[in-house]
Amino acid sequence: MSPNAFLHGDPGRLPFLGHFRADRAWGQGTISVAGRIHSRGDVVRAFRAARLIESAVQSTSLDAVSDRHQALAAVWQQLYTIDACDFGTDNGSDLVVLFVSSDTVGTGISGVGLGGVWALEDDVFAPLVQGDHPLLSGPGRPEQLAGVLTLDQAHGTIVGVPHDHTQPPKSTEWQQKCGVHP
Amino acid sequence: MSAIADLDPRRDLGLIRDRIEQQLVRNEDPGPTLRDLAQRNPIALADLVIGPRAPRDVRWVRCALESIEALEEAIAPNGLYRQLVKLSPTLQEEILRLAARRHPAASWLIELSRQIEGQQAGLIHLTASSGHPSFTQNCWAHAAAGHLPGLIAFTTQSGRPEPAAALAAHKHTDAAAIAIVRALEHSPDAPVVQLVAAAWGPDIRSILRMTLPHLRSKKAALSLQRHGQGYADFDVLLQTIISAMVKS
Repeated sequence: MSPNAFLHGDPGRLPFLGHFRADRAWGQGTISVAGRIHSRGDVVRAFRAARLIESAVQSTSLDAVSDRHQALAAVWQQLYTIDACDFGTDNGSDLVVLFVSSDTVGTGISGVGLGGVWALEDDVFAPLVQGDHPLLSGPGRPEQLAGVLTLDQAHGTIVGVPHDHTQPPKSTEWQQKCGVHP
Repeated sequence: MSAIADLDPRRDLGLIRDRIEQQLVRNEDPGPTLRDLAQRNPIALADLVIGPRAPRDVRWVRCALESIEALEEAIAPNGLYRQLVKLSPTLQEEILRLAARRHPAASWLIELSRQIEGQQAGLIHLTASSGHPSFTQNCWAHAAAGHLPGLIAFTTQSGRPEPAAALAAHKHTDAAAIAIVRALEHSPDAPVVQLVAAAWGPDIRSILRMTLPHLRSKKAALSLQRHGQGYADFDVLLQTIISAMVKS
């Protein structure tokens, strides 16, 4: 089961302004990325920045990657090469992103700007990270990620909520809230 | 000149009605009489416009629309406009236009639009409110009510991106795709793809693919390609179609 990352949208009529999602597979595992950028800015720049991030994830070279940590580091490094001005007027200081990186040994999650992370288990969301966990940092683009939380079991669906809208996901509406349309 | 200057609206309502009807029979302009009444007693005016014994003459109602402020003083707009439409079906579009201009954010306009415009519901309301802060809310309300042809018609004539986003937000994906194309045909720089993504979710490829059968010009297709950058597989598909299109 390859875990997929999703991010809750914001309240309002345009909940997915600046939202992005990308999934990559490499020899022994996968990495899934969901986030938002420039979400309080103008729609054109937010869209451009979001597609730029997706493109960066898709173009990250994962050929030499041998475990989930390296995959995560490679993707983060690729995001870090994007010029700050391409992230919109806030220069990336409003970046919210959830990474879910997995290999044959296990799954790790990381990110910035998150208010909580949940996993869908038997149609119920269980908290993975909430409260004052060190993984829950402010938004932005630090040189290094806050860290990686290794999960003790596999999950197919992992949902993050941004730091400014921390309402937990519900199994009945998480797809709608994350802009997922199966 | 008012034909009722000597009458008291509180006491002589029957006489006032008779004189108005006489004016209409004689083909005289009832405007001065109506304005006199509007100034002196808006409730009496409302009674003589939409009351059970009001003169049934389209000239009278049309004239009354010019004193709509006085009528709104006497009757709540929701009931007033519905009754005006009921009594004067030939003026219904004019009445809806007036209502939309005066109350662009009113929720009752959604149902009234459907009643009057049928398949094209929303066109008059959105046209009238396109410069008002309630415009986006109105697009969402018409999309929620299923007024798809009206939203598309408005997009065709205005090039605004909001209707497409509203349609996508309410899962009317094929209509959203049509609206995307119509918006770009009208205004190639309209941020319609971006707004649909903001309303729908980051992956709008399924909607973008639905636009393809509706593309009628190379110009719109090139605009769509420019705005849809970032969806690589859709870009490849669209490029194939563009290369087969004649210039238009």
